[in-house]
Amino acid sequence: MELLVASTVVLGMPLLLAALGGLIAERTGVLNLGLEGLMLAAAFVTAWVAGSGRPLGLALVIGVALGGACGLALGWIVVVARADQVVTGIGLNLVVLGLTGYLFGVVGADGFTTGAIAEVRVPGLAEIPWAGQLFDQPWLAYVGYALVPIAAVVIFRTGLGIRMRACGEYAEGARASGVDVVRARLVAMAVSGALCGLAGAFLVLADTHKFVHNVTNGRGYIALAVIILGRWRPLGALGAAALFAYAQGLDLYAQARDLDLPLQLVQALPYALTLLAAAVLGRRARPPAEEGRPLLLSR
Amino acid sequence: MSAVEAGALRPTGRLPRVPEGAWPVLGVALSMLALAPLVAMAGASVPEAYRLLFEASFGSAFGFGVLLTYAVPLILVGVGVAVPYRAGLFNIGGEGQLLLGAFAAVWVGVRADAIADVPGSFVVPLAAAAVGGAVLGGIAGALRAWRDINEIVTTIMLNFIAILFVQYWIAGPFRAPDLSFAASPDVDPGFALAHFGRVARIPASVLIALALAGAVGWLMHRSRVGWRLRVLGLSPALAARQGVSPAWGAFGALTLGGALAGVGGGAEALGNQLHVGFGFSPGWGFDAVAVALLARGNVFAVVPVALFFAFLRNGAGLLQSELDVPGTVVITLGGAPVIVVAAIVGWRAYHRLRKGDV
Repeated sequence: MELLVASTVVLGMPLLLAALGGLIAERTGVLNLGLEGLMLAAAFVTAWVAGSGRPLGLALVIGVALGGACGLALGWIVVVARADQVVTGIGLNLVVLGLTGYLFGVVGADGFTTGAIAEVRVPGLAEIPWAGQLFDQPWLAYVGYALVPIAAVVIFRTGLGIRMRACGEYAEGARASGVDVVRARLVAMAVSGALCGLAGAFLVLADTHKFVHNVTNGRGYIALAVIILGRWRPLGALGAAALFAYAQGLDLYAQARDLDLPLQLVQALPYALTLLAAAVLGRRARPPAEEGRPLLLSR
Repeated sequence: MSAVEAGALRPTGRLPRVPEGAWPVLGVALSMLALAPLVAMAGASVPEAYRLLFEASFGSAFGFGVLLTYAVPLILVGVGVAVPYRAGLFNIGGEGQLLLGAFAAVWVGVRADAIADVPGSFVVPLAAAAVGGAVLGGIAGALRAWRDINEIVTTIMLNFIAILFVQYWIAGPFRAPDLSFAASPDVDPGFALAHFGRVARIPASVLIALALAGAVGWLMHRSRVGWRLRVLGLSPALAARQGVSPAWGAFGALTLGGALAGVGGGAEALGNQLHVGFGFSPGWGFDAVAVALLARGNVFAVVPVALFFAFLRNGAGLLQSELDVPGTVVITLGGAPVIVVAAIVGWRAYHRLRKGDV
């Protein structure tokens, strides 16, 4: 059981971070379909820097910075040039998948094995049975915990959040009240990319400890499902990511316990659960009204 | 989608009109150009890389046959992505639909050996492949149509489920007993598709792919049903006024797309591999997304673009073995022109509107 709680945190954190990035963009009216590619790009450079013996902190910073820069670039293409957001996002995912695989092949796999970031045990809290595992984690996990309430407060309790959501729900109205919609969306995409960068860095530094081709393996798309199940709210995303990661951890649990279940059945569980949950909750979840729509007549 | 919607308003801007067929040509040209820096960065000779690329597909009769063999799943899955795309939907589930289609075809091809020697018996496993793909596409379509769930998310989820489902069967109850690795048994030889030519081994499945692409192209671009789906993709509001049901349209487009991708898997299984193993698909489902987007959803354009991707995939092997240029470079060559063309198309739609011509 303790194993299951620990694996939920490690498996769920990249999903949660990418989902937070995605929902910040969507709340501002941009459907960031490049979560997968942004994560993968960051995971690649993080592993590259850390794998060449440089400090893990530096690798983390470079990963996040690259995520932010790529997010801004993707944002420029969809927000300023008004390219179709879904098509461009898918295109970015393909480009990054191909380029990282290519560089991985050119540089060679040897330089991509990294150390693990330090674990921090919170005195007292870590002693709680079961749930104590939540407080005996890589320090980056605590950053993830903290980002959930921060994002929720910013989005729902601040003027900045109101302007963001105005861009996402009624861009012409936001513009009429003096919000620079294009700039707001560009900033949101840069933040979104940086959070994906954090997700990719966490994946490498706290989970896989190395880069392999397509290390993200669809996590960016799963994060899109997490956003929907979490109904475009940070706390909801936390719940959805935890549910998915918990189901994913059952696979390891079943193997550790030698349960006599077909492995593939257990592995398919998180995906089936997500579909089922989406089917049940689907109608009640409504995306931001402007999501995916370019700002057409204004500048 | 909205950029397309904006284009549908048909304002008369000062930007010159671009015929629809020009975009795939531009995409393919950009893709060929993008290869040069990637080869150079890997420290290999650029002219040599282009020479090897052409040699792989056109240097020998055998290579040409491989080109056509690669093209079959790319054409069919590409059409399976293009049909929903024109209806305003993104089918990212080609990989799972292809695999489940192949599995269904092989399952029928192994179990229904009693009818294997009837002339034209291959139609039966191919129909099973269509059903297999249609089930996956249909689930995503139903969730989109009646539960409002984004089809990108559901088709990706269904990919994982389909892959694990097939892995369960071929590693367990449906595993060929005499093999050292996990794979299904071979289909009955009576179901296998013929090959033409002694050296080239041009698969008969090419004819099936071309015929189906032609039929679906007619359906999408010449028939009333296709017109309705395309109106739905351009403007759901306009479609509703024309009496097109968005729900049934979405369900139908994704189901048809899934069925076509499934047939792609079935044609590959019956025409080439004859069984389903763990590495059945080298990523056709994802290449096909790039194919359909570069073809901008035009079914007729999917065929040449798919042939171009088969040409890249075929050459990638030689680039890897002769020049040490990693084969994944092909994925980038698919994605980069998709972004550039999307940016140009979006920018043009925006600037037409901004000129105040609406």
